[in-house]
Amino acid sequence: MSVEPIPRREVVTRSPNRPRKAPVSPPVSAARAAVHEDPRLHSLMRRQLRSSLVGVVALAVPTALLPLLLVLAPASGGIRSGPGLTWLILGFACYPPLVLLGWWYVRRAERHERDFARRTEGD
Amino acid sequence: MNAAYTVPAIVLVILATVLIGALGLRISRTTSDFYVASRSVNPGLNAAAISGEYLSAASFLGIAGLILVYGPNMLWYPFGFTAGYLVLLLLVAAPLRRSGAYTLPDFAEARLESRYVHRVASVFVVGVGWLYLVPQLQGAGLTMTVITGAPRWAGGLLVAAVVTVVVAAGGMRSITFVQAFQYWLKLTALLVPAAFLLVAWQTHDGHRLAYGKQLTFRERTHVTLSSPLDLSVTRPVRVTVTGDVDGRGYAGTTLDLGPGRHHVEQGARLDFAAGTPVPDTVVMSGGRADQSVDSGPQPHSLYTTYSLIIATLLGTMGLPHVVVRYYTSPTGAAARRTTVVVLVLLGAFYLLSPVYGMLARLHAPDLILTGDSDAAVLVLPARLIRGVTGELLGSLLSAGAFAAFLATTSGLTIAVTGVLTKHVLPSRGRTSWGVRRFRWVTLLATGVPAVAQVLLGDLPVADSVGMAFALSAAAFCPLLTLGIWWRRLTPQGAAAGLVVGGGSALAAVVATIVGGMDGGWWASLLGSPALWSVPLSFLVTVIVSLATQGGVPGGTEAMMRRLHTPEDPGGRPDPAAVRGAGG
Repeated sequence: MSVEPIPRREVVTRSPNRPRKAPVSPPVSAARAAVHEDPRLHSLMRRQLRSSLVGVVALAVPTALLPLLLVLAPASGGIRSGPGLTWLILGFACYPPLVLLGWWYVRRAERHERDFARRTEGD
Repeated sequence: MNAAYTVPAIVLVILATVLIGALGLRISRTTSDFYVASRSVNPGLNAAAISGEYLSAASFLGIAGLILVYGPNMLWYPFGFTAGYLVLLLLVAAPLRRSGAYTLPDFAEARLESRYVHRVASVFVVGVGWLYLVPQLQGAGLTMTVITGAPRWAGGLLVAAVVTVVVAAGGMRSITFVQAFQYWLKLTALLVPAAFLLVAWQTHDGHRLAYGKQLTFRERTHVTLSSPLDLSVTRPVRVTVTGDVDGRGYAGTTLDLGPGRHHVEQGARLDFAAGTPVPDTVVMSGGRADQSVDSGPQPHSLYTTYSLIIATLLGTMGLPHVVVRYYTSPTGAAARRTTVVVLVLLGAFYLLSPVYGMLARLHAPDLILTGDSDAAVLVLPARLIRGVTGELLGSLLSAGAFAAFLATTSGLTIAVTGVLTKHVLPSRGRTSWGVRRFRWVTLLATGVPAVAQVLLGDLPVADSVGMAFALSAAAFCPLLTLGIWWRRLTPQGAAAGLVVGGGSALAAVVATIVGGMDGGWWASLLGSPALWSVPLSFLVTVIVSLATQGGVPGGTEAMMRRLHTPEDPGGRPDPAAVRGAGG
């Protein structure tokens, strides 16, 4: 398990290995020591939470508006009608954005973790 | 459908499943192997296994059946089933893996240091698991009935028996191989017939589509009813009847059914001419016939749509068989990447649901009248493609459907069994991780839903899966998201959220199943409880936590560190996590 297993599709996105220079202290030992609050951990959590919430909003807003749009669209008239749009959007068009959003989030989250590891290393 | 091709195909699937399970058994030797594959499952394999396990009878058969009856609005199901993984990825994937939790109760105990929350959560895990297992077994029964004419309960019992043997014999490792195999089998089983069907559709129909709600019989169609039926007619329908309609017997008489409600007795044979509009029925909606005269065959209002969205988006993270799979990722980062691959695999699979739904609306509207709409996927090839090709494609679909039942049922079984073995059943003196005990408990885990599916009769498959999602969302979404991101969560708050939010959702679901609500707002509120029970659950959790701040566990800060800091780059399993889960 020394090489991080990566799904093949993603290899092109960036250099696959997370920090080659391993942090001196594995977080395991730190976990037991840190009973009081650690500002670096707080900063990491805040940044991770912010990315997560951006992702959630990017998913939730279109998802919340779509049922209204589909109800308000004309009831008949081919592909531009409510049912026609439902087939098109929910049947096919919605899936690529879901994957792209997930991919974007993974990159953000891993970047935050790399930054955190770099700062912890500076101890 | 021709049993001569189909039965061998199903036997082949079952044999392959058992064989791959047996190969896994030879590899897995220790108790820890048995449960979690010693966490050495690679993300590509794990993503296929997650998807294979997740794509259930509801996905394979149920969605197309619902689209056939209710129209394209039912495409919210596959969207929600996929987007639920995105929410899981955004909010819980990596921390959940780092918590080292094998089950949701494990997570609750590790985070909140409370045996009590752990117990309550265990009960809900078993509840969600059983609620999700029943429709799988029902779907298996329906498939067997369509293929061989066997009674409804037989297929369910067959799947339950196979799964019990596979799970009890091989445990998790073999399940990983089995599940990954099942994903590719299911995708192939839908993809190949879909290609043939689309060619046939282009030849027959010249790209004709049916966007809207109103369906018509394309050819002269005979329907023989296996159960009584209420028709709601809006425009006059001409039909030739042999049997009882509205209390009068007919023998090959042509009737004009006027607007209003008509009762057709069991055993009646209805004969519709080509071009006749399909009368609205309420086979799938639990007897809400009176409404559909005004609103068309669509009892699903905007409320139900939103409720379904909430349930699927927030419920996925709490499904018992999903959490177990995250434990087999080596690191939190690997868990995240696995989830992205899962999104790709699920998206690819669900592109086929609208294809089957649309073709079913064009070519199998009579299934609405007979109440077998969940079988639409299975009968389509024989309808569009004559001869052996159609039969063979139908067999492939049946085999895929069986793969779906087997995969989801075994995943749920292993999760429910894990929780029952470790947390619910008492383990006096003996070590609760004993392999032999695990095997006996497996029987209990599949036995209860197997009996329930015989007793309950038929609920529409995807509908009852929707209820399992709603219960999961109300019970576990607040526990997971607040547990991961909110330091001030207390055991008291979590327990109150579980009991009030999860409990009310459970009560609503049970009332719907037992009570048979007769339409109206109450039926919608109880049948789709997520939209009110999830916010309620969050609210209670937060308020009670804020009121009991003295109860914040001492280890919260250390736990937060473990949840949110990356593992060391070698991806070595965290010893603390291993101990925490193994205890």
